[in-house]
Amino acid sequence: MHSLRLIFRFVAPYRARLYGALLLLLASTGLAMVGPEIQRLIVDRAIIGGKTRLLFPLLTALVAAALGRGVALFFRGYLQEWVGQRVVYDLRHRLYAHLQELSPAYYARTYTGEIMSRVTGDVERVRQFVTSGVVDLLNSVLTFGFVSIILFRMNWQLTLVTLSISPLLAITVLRFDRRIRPAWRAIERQAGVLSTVIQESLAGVRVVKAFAREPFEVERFRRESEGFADTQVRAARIWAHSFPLIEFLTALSWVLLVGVGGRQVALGRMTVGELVAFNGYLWSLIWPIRNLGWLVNLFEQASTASDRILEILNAPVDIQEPPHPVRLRVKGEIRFENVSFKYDEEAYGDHALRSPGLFGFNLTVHPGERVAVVGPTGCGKTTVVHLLLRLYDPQTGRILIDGVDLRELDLVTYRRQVGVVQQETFLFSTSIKENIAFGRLSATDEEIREAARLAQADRFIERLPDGYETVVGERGVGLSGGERQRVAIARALLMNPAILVLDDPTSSVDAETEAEIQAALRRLMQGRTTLIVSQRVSAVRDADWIVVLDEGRIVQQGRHEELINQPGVYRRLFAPQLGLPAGEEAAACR
Amino acid sequence: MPVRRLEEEEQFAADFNAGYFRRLLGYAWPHRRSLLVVLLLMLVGAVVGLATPYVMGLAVDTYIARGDLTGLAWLTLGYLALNVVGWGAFTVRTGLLSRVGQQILHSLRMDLFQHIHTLGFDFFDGRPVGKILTRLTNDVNVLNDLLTNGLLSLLIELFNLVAIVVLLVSLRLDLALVSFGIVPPLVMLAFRLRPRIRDAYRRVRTRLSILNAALHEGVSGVRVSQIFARQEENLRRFDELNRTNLEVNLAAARLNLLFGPLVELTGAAGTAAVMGYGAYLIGRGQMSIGMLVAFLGYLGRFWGPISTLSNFHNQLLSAMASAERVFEILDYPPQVSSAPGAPELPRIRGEVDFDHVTFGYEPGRPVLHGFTLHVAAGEIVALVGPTGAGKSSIISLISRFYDPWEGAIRLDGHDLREVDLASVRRQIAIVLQENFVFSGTVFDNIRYGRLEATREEVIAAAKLANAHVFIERLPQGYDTVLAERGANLSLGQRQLLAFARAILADPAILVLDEATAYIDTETERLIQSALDRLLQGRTSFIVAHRLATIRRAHRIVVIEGGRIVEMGTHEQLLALPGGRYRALYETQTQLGKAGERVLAS
Repeated sequence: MHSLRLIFRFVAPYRARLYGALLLLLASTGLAMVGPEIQRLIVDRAIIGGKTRLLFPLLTALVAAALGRGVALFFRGYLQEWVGQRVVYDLRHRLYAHLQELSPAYYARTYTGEIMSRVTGDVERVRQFVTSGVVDLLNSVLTFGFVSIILFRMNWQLTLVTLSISPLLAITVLRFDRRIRPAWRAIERQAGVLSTVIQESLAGVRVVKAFAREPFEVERFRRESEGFADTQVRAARIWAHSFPLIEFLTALSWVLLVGVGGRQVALGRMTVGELVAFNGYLWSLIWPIRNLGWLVNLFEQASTASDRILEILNAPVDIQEPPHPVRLRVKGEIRFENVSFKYDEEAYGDHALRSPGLFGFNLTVHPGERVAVVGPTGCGKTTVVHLLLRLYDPQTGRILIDGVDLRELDLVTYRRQVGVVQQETFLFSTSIKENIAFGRLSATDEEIREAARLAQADRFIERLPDGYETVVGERGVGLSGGERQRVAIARALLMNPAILVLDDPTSSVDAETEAEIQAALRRLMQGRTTLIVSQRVSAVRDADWIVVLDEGRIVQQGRHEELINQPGVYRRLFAPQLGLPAGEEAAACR
Repeated sequence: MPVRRLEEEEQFAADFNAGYFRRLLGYAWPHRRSLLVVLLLMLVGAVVGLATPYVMGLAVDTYIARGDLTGLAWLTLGYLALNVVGWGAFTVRTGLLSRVGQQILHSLRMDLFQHIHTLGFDFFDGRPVGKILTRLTNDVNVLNDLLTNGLLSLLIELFNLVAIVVLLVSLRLDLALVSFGIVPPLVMLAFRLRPRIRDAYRRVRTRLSILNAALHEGVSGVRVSQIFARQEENLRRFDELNRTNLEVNLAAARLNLLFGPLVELTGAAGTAAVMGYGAYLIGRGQMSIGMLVAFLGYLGRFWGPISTLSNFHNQLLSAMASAERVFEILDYPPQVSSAPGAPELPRIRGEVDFDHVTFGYEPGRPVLHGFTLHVAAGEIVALVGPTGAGKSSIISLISRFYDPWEGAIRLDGHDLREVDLASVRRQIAIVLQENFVFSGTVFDNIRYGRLEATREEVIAAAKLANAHVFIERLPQGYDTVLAERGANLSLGQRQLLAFARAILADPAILVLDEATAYIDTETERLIQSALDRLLQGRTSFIVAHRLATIRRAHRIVVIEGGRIVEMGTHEQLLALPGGRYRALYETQTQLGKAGERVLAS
């Protein structure tokens, strides 16, 4: 129950509506009690007692009670639904806002699928709980309590007899609930396995076909499909052993009612009308118990769901806005002063182990200069980029932009003045126009077209089915790696940034495309402070200054001509690309 | 970020199609006996259920009113016995039905999966994995549900409906007619209001999937959003979708919440009418109280059949849409398949012949025109040329992923179309630009190349491919479990794994399709130094842009527009004045020359 606190916090603003729902609950439960009572009066007074003038008012009351109850049910349900929907609206809003601020390392160690299942499935479970959990629980308790009291007053012996089934029913229901849940979990797990087998054999179909492994895949699928069927049958067996028993116990209540109640009527200890009323009330005595399992389930699910949601909401945001942010018009001087950074192993697990971080890093880039950072894979290059973009803060040392500490800058204004072209360009499922204007929403159509032209993207865009309005991304037209990079260059051009970061922008395109993109990149770099990270010698050889990193430390720096002539990491890395001998054998970096 | 256009919605309902329905019944046919037993057991359950109001009426009139306690006891006991039978029948049929249902599901899934794996790339290229997955899971479930639950409960509820009508009419016609008054409003609710509710929830689902897609995009595009400081704008747009989702949910709830109370109100009105007329009849001595009790009991049982009928109608239409999607796959023709009785291709030396091959993907737009090339066993051939020139087509044809329009491809003189497909592919290994890694251990992933390989052979292959060193450094070495799609490996490591896998298969022909395109400098070094060993004694086809890789070839074939424009060794082609290869080489190595000059000085 401790973990339900999250839910209570989100429900709190709307509690007035929940109180309203509770009032309506009292009304609807009360009115439900009226029906059988009226039926008793009709049978005993109007029919057997012969007071026919009572008949019409009583029948009217019967319908009126149903009408009143209907109205109460409707508004109660609507209030519950309203609060439930509103709470998940707020929850989604908070989740989305928070997820947008989490650091790259958080995403490196958390699977997207895992996050998605929390923001969809778990949020839905919270909604169910808010919408029905508390009110349904009260409804069950109230109904069971009311009816027991009414029946006790009417005929306590018969009530005791029919209630004697209740413990048995409750035990069966709860035992079913306890046994079926592991079975359901097994089904879920096996469904996951089955779907992985399907996805892999489809996504990897080229490998499957290349090795003629179709029989192997079919066999694997047969095994898991049979396993899936087995888990289903096992769950059905549990169900088959419980549910018919629950039905039987329900019927048993009726048997007792007819047998014992009928005997009492025959002996004159009870009226026929009372028997009819008893019959009418009986279901209200049974359904709350049958509901027990569902309620227990609802509470437990909501509690684990809110735990899982809290894990996201409690994930720390590494970057904090300064109290007095400086809105700087960036000229483009970058200075790293003795910067060290290490990924927190506790928070980032695997990712921390794979990335060494950065140690005592010093670098000054003057406005308009072009500096390249190179080094073997996983040796701290990306950390430099992440620090410059302030996705993290360094643990020691500082980064100065035009002499101002990065941590004091207004982040939005700063990032708007930094253009980035990444290794792989993510396109949103919207028009290509909006994707180009991503960093500058206010751009006019002409400006967008001009940027596309300079990035050499205009020709392929105009060939797309709807030109600049064509929807791209996951749900639209797929673009090739080279086309994506050109969109990214146009995106950066449109921002007219003072600082430009090229994070290995040509690593995932082939050599032909690379040559074409280089031309567009050169145009982009003109007159801007540029930081280049690359694995390709063609991208770095023209840089004004090259810094070589290894294991997070600077091991060499200088210009291309100097570095290629020294023995060292630089020559080892790039000589093969130039068709030169690499010199000494390379030591692998981790 | 907003998702402007949701992928065209999967169809929810389709017209009834007798052909599909027959084919579906075909899957249930082998289980007809079990299904018949289930139906009979359901019938037993229905009778027990129907007996309850009658027993109640009988008890009141015959025994209670007359004070016949012994009779009442017998009746009670009889009714108890009936319920025990009902309990047993319910238990048995639930288990049986689930078993039959799962068997049907399994065979439907197997048919689909098996068929999918006979299909060619023309099928896979236009179809996201997610869509095929949905057919294998959701659509198959919908069909099974119709075949087992849907049809059977329809039959039972029809029986219930007829039985109640017959019972009431035979008990007392005029009161029966009064009771039937409840039916039209119930039918209206089931067939008019419920479809509107269903539509409303369909809108809810559509909006929810748009919302979830936006969430997904927000998560996967988070880095870009942070870098471009777009969080506020994103949140604003997300809130719009979130708000719409809230509104359609509340609209649906408003309709849905009407439903229960209206059904209840109808029931109350019916009860009042039956009680009123019943009281009148009893007052005139024309009817007993017990019969009134029985009538009131049956009144509540009209809803079940009516509700089931309206549900079934809907279920049938959506099952037809699912059937359409499932049978579309089952009826999809395989692109290439072994000719019946085709012999196995014997172990080949690796001679490859393209004999006047014309081939393309769209009719009338050939990619290769009368392409002829003879490759000797053990020869290394590099294919060079601009994107779309036909290099990938040539490679696909060797493995017979497609058949040529004209001409023939022969391995050691055997026309590919005349030998068993699997025996061809077993002798060819392909390393692609990006190679799929299956979840499972490193060991399993390498062994995919040859399933019966021993551990020693797997390790030997990994060593040959220079993959051994990084594998040894993994937490559990060869037994390290790889995440889905090898997410815990770098692209380069996945590539080394793919080389090991290919080597283990010990192919006569090795195809490298841009296998060194995206890798980092470190991996490239490892691969280049392994390449000589890997190509040794095999016929090899290399598609690459990196000169270091191409230079190894015995022969370089330059292709443009589906035709060979230049062919020869590296030196021969460089010697061609104005040649294409020479131009390509120069753009890539002018840097290298600069470097060499510096080194020389």
